[in-house]
Amino acid sequence: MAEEAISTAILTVATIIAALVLVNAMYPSLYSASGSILSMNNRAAERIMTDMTVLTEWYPPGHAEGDIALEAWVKNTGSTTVTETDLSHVDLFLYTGNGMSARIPAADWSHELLNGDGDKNWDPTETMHLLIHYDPTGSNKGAWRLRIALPDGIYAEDSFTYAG
Amino acid sequence: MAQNVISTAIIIIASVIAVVALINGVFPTIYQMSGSMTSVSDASNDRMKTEIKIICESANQTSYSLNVYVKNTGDRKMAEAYVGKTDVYFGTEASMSRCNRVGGANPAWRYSIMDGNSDTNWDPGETLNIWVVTADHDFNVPGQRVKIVLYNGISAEDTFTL
Repeated sequence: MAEEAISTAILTVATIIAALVLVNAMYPSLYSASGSILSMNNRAAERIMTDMTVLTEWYPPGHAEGDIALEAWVKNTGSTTVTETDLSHVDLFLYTGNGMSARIPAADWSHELLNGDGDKNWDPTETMHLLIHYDPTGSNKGAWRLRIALPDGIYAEDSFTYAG
Repeated sequence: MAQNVISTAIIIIASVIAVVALINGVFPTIYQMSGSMTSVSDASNDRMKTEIKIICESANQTSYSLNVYVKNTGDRKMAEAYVGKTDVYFGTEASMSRCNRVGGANPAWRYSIMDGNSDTNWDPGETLNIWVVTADHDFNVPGQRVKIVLYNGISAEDTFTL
């Protein structure tokens, strides 16, 4: 009777120790993997809900030499808010024909939010007005494209004609 | 009675010794296994949180060079040392070749972070400009192809016609 109790106790203790060791070994990995999956899932969900449309472009026909002063209007047609911080990571590209394109440095463009609620975030339905300074010297006339890319990699573009 | 007590005591001592011997034998293996699992799990997490997207390419036929703009769309900040371990492949859909870092033979590449926060890390949301210079590549041929492979094997590629 006593032997049975002792051996049962020893086996129980050994089983508990083995279980603890296994849990200790696996739990951190599982916990960490779960965090990564969740975080990337959130990013994917955000991307699905992000959308924008370039509405139109305009530049003054008699623009100053060396500065096209291109204006563009882009609407947030998604259901996510692009924060002020994210707006500082927006990229603008101009495709100027013949395979040439240029990234517009942050110092050469500015934006303002129209129809907004007064904050600095680009909320759904709000329109962003862009003013882009670009030197068109040496560029060909014809079909140009403006591409705007958000920090999550979503981009939109639109063509317009540059007539000089 | 005394024999019973003695034999029970011997059995208990033997059992304890056996359990200790078992733990000593198995524990290092389990500990090592745990280390391996953690290490593999860390690498796997790193890959899960890493994501990039090519958002634009532009070529300069005069200087036979190409700019590829790549966005860090993941959750992982990449230190300068890791960015330097990137592999860049460039060519056409028919054939691609690996680019050396600038200083080696063409095609060669170098990078810069565009409008970042002034540190040398490639943070989420920031854009990397990869400048590829070739010897005499014709960028006007349709079906240009570029592939960027990061230090952990995560890659992005794009086929484009300028």
